[in-house]
Amino acid sequence: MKDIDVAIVGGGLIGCASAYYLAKAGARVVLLERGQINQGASGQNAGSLHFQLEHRLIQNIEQDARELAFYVGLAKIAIEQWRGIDDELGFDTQLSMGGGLMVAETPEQIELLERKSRIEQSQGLAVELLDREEARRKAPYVSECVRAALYCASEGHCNPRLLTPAYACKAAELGASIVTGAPVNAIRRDRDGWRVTFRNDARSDETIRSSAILNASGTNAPAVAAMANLHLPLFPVALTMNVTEKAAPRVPHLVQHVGRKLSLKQADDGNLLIGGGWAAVLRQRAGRWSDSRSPDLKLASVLGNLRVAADIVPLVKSLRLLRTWTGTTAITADQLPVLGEIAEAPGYFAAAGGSGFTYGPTYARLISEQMLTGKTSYPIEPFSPVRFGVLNAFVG
Amino acid sequence: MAMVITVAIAVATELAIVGAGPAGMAAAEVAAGHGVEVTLVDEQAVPGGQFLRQPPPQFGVSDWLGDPVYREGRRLLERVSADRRLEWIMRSSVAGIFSNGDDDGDEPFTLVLNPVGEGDSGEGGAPRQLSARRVLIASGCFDLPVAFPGWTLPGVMAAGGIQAFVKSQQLVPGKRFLFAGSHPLQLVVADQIVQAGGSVAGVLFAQSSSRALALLKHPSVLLGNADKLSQTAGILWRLRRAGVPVRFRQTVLSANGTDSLESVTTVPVGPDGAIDSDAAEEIECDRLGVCFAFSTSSELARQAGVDCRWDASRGGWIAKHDDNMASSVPGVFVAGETTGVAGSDIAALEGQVAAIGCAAELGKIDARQAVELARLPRRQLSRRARFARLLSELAWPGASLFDQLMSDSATLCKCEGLTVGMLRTQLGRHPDIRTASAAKLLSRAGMGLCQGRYCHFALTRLMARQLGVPEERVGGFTSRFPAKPVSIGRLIGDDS
Repeated sequence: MKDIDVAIVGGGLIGCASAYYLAKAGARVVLLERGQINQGASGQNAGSLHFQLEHRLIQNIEQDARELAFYVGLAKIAIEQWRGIDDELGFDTQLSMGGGLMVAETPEQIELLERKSRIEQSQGLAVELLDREEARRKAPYVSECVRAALYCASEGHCNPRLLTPAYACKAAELGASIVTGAPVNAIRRDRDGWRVTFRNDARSDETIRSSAILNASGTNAPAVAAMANLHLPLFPVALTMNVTEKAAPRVPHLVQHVGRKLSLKQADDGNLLIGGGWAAVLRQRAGRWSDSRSPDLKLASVLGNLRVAADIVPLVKSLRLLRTWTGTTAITADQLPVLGEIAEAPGYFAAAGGSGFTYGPTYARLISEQMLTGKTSYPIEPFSPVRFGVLNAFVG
Repeated sequence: MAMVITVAIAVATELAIVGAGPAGMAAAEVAAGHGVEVTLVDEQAVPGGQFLRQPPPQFGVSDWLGDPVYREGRRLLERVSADRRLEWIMRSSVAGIFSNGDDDGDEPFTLVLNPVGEGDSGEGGAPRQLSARRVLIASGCFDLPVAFPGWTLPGVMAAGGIQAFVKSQQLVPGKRFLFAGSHPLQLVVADQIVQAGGSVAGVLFAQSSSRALALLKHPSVLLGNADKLSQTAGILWRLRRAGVPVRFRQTVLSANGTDSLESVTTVPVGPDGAIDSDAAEEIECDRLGVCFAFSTSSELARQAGVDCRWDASRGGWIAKHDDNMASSVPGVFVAGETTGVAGSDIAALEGQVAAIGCAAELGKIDARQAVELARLPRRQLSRRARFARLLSELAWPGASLFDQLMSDSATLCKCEGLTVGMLRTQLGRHPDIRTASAAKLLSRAGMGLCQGRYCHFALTRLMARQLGVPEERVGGFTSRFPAKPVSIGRLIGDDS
């Protein structure tokens, strides 16, 4: 008899949402978080819901067309799930799905928009190509240099400060045990499950026995995989975000750029959030990446990001920059998430990487389904860690 | 003043000094004396810092800061103001300090400058960036904001804020003043108000008279600080003559009024430190000067990556440093209140030591000379540090007093309109939230224009108490760029 059914490692969006879906189905769940709930990428990202293929994904649009088509399919079920999320959680997460525009400034960029829209439309994602006048009519706040835009009515944003804690609360209500300040330091195979050892509040080691493990530790996922002698090829990337002072409501959409790094939106509180994948610098300690502190800010990234924002939405120039921050997220080499069971380690599941805010609730729901029933309501095979199986064939 | 930089967009210097108060000025003088090229940056239009806040020239004040305690500081100010070796960037704060990495060897730091006020941007405006080989952060401190019901009401001011008015404008900003706190500065400000012709209803110390006045009974500690002794005695005598009651074991419970301050409810503080709400009294006044302690302006140092530690009675997060005032970030030095609130004379000595350290690192003097030069200021520092430590301990009312004043209706974060009760409710719902940064993310406390300067102490205390852990465990808000809000148009050089 195991102490519990599932030990979740990581208190970010995927971990907390999975704790909720699993507990709701009656599973006995313990979530172990080394720091604080929502302290990593889940709380540090800028809260975009981008269902169009984003800038980072379309750099090699021809080669990646097949994978991308599959990814777009996921967007449709994610949109569905987001629409019901406040009702499900019984909480106002400041969800806004007022539409999103991906803008283009040059003929090449317009062509890219067209190509990408064909992939999206082939998968049934509703997107609409707007010319300059249509774009300006829909979004009078954009500048003259916007020559076209791809509009997706379901896009928007949600408040990353609120979503993950809301899931954590709801999971706890349903009986999941959420333990913070509890770094896991060993994961061992047991006869028919796993033994997970963590440092508890009293600073001594505690071990729980679980039937299954869910590694939802984001940037720390490779280390948590290594504890079970497994490889999980995720790579930390450091990003920069900016927020302005509050302004009167002017920007009801999520604004992205097809050829330059930009995501821009106005939060319920009036602040404009500006990001889009501008680099920060991961810290090093003794010659290795270290996540003990947030990444170093690069001045060039701040200035570059604000330059793009000001070019596309000129009202930005009249506002004050209130704060910048950096965060670390984890991506795979093929840019797709890792979602599924590691074949070489039955009962060891992983869910991480790739647009984890937009798709976090969906990843959590799908991985929970798989853990509970062995099946999922949307196929996740292309995201399975089996695609890296060769790495784990030699460790065991 | 000579050599005020106003035209270039980006300029370079050997040593950038942030803050032209006693620490920054003393450092500038010493560093320049050893041939270091120095640029000082300060938010004010004129140097001097909070301690030597100068009146605007058009006021024509003749007896500005006539008290002997300011004599040394005034001389320093006169010398550096006339020092043609120094360069100045005034009316500009520093929004951030960026390390350029190893590959940019000549000037490893870029300081992003943030001109204060409007109308001085664009062509001919202040420079936007300053690159430097070494940086000295001497950014001073501000009055500790204390949360109690009514503290955000117009008329409730920091005693330091009242003093700034009197010092720089020669104005008495109110009709009837009450002071409440635990720091002897409130005696100094009450005295300045009385001397300027204002009316003071009283000065309330939260601690006992023996504790508040213990300074006068420690001649060994006061050795070398006779000037401070005579000053305190003189102030008490003048206040008594003016009929201003100085009361002990009394503090403010709430500030009352509809649109602005009308009265203050005061309560006795028992020998065990517990306030007695049943014995509350009401005192009519239109200005309340609050003066418990000071908070270091450590945002810039922390943004630059400087390691800090928590010391509540010395200003909260204070920058760690070595014997040369070098911080944990190579090339960044710290001096003055940034390293723990200790007053202007210690600040100036620390500035001298830091300047010697910088001069040595820049190769202007050798290591032996540096040790020799630093000997005297270091000796003076260790003597005065004892006095400063005693002063801060005696002046500190204890964290439990702040815990008692922070009742649920008190505003915690005024930028985001969050009360103590609202935060307590949210923390109650999320018992797993155990750090200041996580609480900020949950509640928005500290996300407003003040960048958390006004709520971080209260929030840290509230959490430390609720969780039963030391403040160090709760941690500070992560300090981010920019240290103060900065115009985006100006930052990217596009103000059109």
